[in-house]
Amino acid sequence: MTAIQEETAVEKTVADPKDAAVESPFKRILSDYMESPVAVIGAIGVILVIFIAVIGPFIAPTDPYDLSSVSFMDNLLAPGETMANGTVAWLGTDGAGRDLVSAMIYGLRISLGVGVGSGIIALIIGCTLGMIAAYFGGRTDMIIMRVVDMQLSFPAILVALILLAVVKGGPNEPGYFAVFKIIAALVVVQWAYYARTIRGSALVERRKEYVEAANCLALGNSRVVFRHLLPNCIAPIIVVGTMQTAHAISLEATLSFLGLGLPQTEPSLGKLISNGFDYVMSGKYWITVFPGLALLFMIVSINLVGDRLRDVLNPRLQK
Amino acid sequence: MTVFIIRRLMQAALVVLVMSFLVFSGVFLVGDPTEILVADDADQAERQAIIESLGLDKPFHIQYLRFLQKAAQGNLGESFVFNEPALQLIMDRLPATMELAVAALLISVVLGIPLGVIAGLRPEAAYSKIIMTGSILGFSLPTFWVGIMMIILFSVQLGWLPSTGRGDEIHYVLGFPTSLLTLDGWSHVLLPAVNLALFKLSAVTRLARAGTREVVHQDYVKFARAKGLTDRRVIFVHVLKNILIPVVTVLGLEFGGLVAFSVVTETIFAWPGIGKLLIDSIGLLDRPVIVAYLMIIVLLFVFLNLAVDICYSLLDPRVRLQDIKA
Repeated sequence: MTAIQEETAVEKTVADPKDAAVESPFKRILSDYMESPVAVIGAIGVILVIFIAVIGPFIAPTDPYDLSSVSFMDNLLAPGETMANGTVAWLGTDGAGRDLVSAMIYGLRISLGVGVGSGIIALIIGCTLGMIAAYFGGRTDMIIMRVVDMQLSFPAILVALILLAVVKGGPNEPGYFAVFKIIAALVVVQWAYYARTIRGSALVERRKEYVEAANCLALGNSRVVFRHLLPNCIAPIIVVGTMQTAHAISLEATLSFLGLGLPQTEPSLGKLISNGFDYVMSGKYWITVFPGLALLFMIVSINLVGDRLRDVLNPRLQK
Repeated sequence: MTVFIIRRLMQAALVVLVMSFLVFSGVFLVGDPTEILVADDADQAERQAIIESLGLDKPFHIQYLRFLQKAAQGNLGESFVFNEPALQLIMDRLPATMELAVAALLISVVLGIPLGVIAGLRPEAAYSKIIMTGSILGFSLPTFWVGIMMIILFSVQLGWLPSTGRGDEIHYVLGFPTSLLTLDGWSHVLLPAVNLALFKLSAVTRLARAGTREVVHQDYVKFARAKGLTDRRVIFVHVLKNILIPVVTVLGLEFGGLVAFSVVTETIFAWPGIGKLLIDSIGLLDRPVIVAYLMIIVLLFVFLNLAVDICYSLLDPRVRLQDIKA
């Protein structure tokens, strides 16, 4: 972060020498961000989702995994009806008799965890490869970018479908393996976006004087890349990261809906929607609608934040 | 030009070969189809006979070479489940998918371009903002969820439109089965097509809007207005013609995306196309059908990319000069 701070500080002093107190870039970005009320609502939404996901087990009325507390007698209760153990199922129950509020809270945890987890891994892999491509150039650059181009010419859902279709395990595969598989598929789908983004900005930054200076000091390659180049390429990565996380969550839900994502034992929001789809024709809308709304709330919130961050962090739109 | 096309063709062939290897090895490595195909009470000899008849006892490289050899002759293996050539199964269902994709493409063009132009002409107006917000929603809402909501609203609650299948009245036009000739067919295709189109519709709207905003400030539009032409003529002749180029390019490129995304839509609306076949085959571990589907889709994509590349190079000679130098 130091490089960004120093650079902005210099720019600020040049732009307005009278302004003695130099505000930090973080504060400036925050105040810029706050100017859009819609984006603030989005941010509150994201914080709320994360909060619910973190403290989920403590606020869920029942534990949907605890088979002893789930009674088949409670199945398909309409929203607001009381379950056998006395708790009110505010959003109804699903086909197995699980309270939908609890199932949604646990599903939210899984959806968010898979989305963010795969995003972070893809970010690390993509940024490393993109950085290598930009810094070393030549043949290395060509090979990495050819792979990126080839992958981006196929839609994400198709790549994920191919991966999950070919490594389809039998019905007895353990739950954690399915989670690992879907995270791996989402990483493969996403890394190319990060690689392309960071290569683009690194190519611009690489020609700047501070990198030249660092090279003149005979600093090692890794030090120049990680301490000098990387911090200055971080802004577009944050934007792409937010958008990609929303995309990954949506994709995971879609794949789970198709029966290729998470198994019945790890029900994400997508799986809950899929389960509810069987009951749609008989008018039992709640099993599918409420998890869907939760999914929607999460995706739209993240997208609103990402959209605003793109405007705020884009140096071309500043001033 | 010929050098360019030959070079691109060779690249495309390489991509197909690499993909065939990846797909085949992936499908080969995981999942044992005999578990499903062999009856539980079959003895060892029967089991062995089935494995041998399918060629599953051969080593990997032999199986792959045999696959390539047959694939070159247009034979992608027989479905384990249907006992029919896998390619035939896919070709039988391809028209349904194409019909859906074309209908979705039509919807996105017919609605998307006017919406984009309207929003681009008056970017500050309230209706423009509504259109743009709608397009953001179209981008971020998961297709499958919108599809379910459409079924709940239009099929279950209102009962206006059917939610499954493509209807019984299928007619043949030039040898292709289509349900677009009857009202019943249209009522079946409407919901899935709109569902599939939403994403593209948003994209086309945004493209058309961006194009319009750029074009209206060009000198030739100002000049046309200065000549005293009517608004209608300026919009339809001067603006529309010039925004069509990027829109058409993107549509051509993204047609493959529609076919890929139809997997989701077909599953929701029980549309008898190749997407639903893929999902069913994955469930049944029907290896040849999965491989055949993936190969057909890869071919489709490689072909579309190739076609777009060649069109670009025809329109812009700089592209092919660059490629020859490299």
